Amino acid sequence: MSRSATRISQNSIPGLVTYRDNSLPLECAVIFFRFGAALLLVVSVALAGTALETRNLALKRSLSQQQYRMAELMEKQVALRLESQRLGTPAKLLEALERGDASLYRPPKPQRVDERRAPLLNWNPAENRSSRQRPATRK
Amino acid sequence: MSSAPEPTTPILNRARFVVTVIGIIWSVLALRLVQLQWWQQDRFADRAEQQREFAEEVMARPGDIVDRQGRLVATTLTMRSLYVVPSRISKPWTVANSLAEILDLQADSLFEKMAERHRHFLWVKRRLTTAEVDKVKELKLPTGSWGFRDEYRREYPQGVVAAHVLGLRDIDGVGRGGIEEGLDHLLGGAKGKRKLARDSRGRVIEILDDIEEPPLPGQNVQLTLDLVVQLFAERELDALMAEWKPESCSAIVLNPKTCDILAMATRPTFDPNHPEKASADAWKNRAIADIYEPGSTFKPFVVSYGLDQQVLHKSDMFDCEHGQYRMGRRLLHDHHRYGTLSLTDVLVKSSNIGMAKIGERLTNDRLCAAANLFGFGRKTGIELPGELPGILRPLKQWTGYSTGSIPMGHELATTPLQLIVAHAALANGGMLLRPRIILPPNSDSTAAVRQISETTVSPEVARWLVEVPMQEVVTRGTGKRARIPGYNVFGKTGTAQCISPAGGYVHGKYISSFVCGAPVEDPQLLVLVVVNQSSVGGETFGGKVAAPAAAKILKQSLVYLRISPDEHLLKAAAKWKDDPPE
Repeated sequence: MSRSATRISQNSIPGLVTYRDNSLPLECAVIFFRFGAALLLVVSVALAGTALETRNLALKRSLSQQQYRMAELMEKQVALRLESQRLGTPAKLLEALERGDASLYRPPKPQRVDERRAPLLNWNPAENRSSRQRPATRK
Repeated sequence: MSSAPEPTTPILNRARFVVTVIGIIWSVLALRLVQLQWWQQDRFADRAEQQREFAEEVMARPGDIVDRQGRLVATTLTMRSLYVVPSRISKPWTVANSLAEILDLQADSLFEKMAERHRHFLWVKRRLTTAEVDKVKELKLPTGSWGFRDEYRREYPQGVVAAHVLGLRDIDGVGRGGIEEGLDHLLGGAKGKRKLARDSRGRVIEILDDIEEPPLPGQNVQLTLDLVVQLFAERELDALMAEWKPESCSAIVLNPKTCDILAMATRPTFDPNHPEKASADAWKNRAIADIYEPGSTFKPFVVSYGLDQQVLHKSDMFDCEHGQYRMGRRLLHDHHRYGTLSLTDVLVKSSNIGMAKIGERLTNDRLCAAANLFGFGRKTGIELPGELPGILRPLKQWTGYSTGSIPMGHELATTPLQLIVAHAALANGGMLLRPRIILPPNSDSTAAVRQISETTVSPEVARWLVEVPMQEVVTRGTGKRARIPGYNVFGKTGTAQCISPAGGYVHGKYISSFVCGAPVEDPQLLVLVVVNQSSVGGETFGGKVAAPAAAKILKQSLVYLRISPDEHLLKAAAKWKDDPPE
C-alpha cells in the first residue's frame, strides 16, 4: 500500500515540517483491532483458566466433603452395628429365651431372603410340650 | 575548553586490578550458580523436598470377624487420641491439672511429663470417648500445643465368649493371640503413606494431594464357630468350674464330617475388651496349648488299628485276670475285678489289663503306627497360633513298659484338639481331616469335602467302633451320665493322673475327660470336655466330672442345630420316665 501525506504546517523550528498521514485511521484501526483481539484472547484464556481452576477446586472440595461424609457415615454404621450386635448377643438373649421371658419374633418381611434357621430352644420336646403352648411374651 | 588530565599509570593499574578481581569474583559466582542450577539441580531439589515434605503412615482399618451365622465377633471403631507438645506449653501445671481432671488421670505424673520442655510429642490419653473429646475441646487449650489423632480401637461385642479363639489387638493395633495374631496378615490390611508439607519449624502446613500408597483395609474373616454353640460350651465350663473347682478346663465342639470347629472354650478366661483385668493363667488357649495323657480316650484308636490290621477280631475274648496282671516287672490293676471280657467289653468297662493284653498282641511297632496314623505327636494344622504338637516319643525310645502303657493312653501326651480330631476320624468313617476354624470365602458352610485328609482305618472298622463299643460305653459303661433322651450317643471316658514337672505323676490329681457324639447312625456333632485337676471329690473320673457337662453341651447343640431325635427313642424315654422298670 502506497503511503500519502499532506503538508500541514511549517513549524518554528527551521526544517521541521509536520505532515498528516492520510492512511492513519485505517492503519490504527487494524493495529488496535489486532491488539484488542490479542488482549481479548489473553484475557479470555486467563478467565477460562480461572474458571476451570475454580470449578476444579469446587469439585475437589465437593469430593473431599463427600469422602468425609462417607467416612463419617461408615463410622456411624460401624458404631450402630456394634451397638445392635451388643444388644442382641446370644449371651444376653439365650437365657431369657430359655426361661420363656422372651420369644423369637419373625419379622413380616425379613431382610434376608435366605432363611436363617432360628434356634429351637426346647431341649426336650417331650418335657416342654406344655411350655411350648404357653403364649409367649415379647419384650 | 581544556581536556581532562590523563590518569596516571598507578591509578589505571589499580582500576584494572579492581575490575579484574570483581570480574573473577563474578565469574566464580556465575560458575557456582551454573554448577548448582545445572549439574547439582536434582540433588538439591531432592534435599529441599525432603526438608519440606515428609511421609506419614496411614493406618489401615482392621477387618471384622464374624461367626458362621454372620454374628459380629470383632469390629473396629475410630477413636480420637489426645497428644500435647510440651515444648510449646508455657503453663504446664495449669494444662496438666485441667486435662487430668476431665480425663481421670493423675495430674502430678502428667505434669512431670509435660514439664520436660525438650519433648515435642506426648500422648495424654489414647482412644477417648466422645464425651471426653468434647470436654477437651471446651478447655480451649493454646493453639499448636495439642491435637487429636485418629486411632482404631478393636471392639469385641460378645465379651468373654470365644476370647481364646479371637485373641486381641494391643494398643498399637498388633494382633496378640488367637485369630487376631494368626490371621494378622489378612485382618490387619496394609498401612498406607501420605505426604505432608511442613515449614522450617517442622509444623505441618499442608496435606499434599498425592497419597503415595492408600491404606488397604483388612479383610473380613468368617469363623466356623457358632456363637450359640460356643455359649453352650462356655456356660457348661462355668458350671464345671463352680461345681468341681478345677485348675482349668476346656471344651471343643466340632462337626466330624468337615472338622469345622463349632465351639472352642477354655476356663479361666479373659475379656478382650478389658485385657488389663485378666489373670496370668487366663491367656492360654488350653484346647490347643495344654498337653495331657489322654488315658482311656486313647483306647479306641488302638483297638481300631488292631482290627484294621486284622491282629484283633471283633469276637476276641481277653482274660482280665480278676483285676491284677503282672506284665514283666510291672503289676497292672483294674478298677474292678473283671474275668474274661469281650473286645467290646474291654472298651466299655475300660479295662487296663485287657488293653495291656491287646498291646502285647499288637507289639510296639503297631502301637506306634496307630498313634502316628491318628495324628498324635504332630500339630493338627488349625489356623490358630501356639498349637502344640503333643508328645509321641520315637519308637526306638519305647520299652517293654510302653507295650502296656501306650494302649492305656499313657506315655504320650496330646492336646484336646488332637484328641477330638482323632475321634472325628472314627466318627466320619476313618478319614483324618485337618480341623479348621476359618470358613473359606464364598464357601458353603455345609461343604463336607476337605482336600487335606488321610485314611486311618477302614469305614467298616470305624463304624463298628462307634456303633458298638463306644455306644455301649454310654448305654451301659463308664459314660452312662451322657445319655440323652431321643438320641443314640456314643462316647469314651478318660481319667489320667497329672504329670509332675519333676517327673512321675502327682498323686491324687487327675485329668478327667469325656468325648461323645451323636447321633450314632450319622454322627453330626462331637464334643470333648477336659477337666484339669478337680479339687472336689477325690478320684474324679471322666464319666463323673466331664461326661455330664459334655452331654449337656451335646444335647443343647443337637436341639439348636435341629438334628432330629429318634421318635421311638423319645417315646421309650418318656415311657421309662413315667413308669420306670423295677
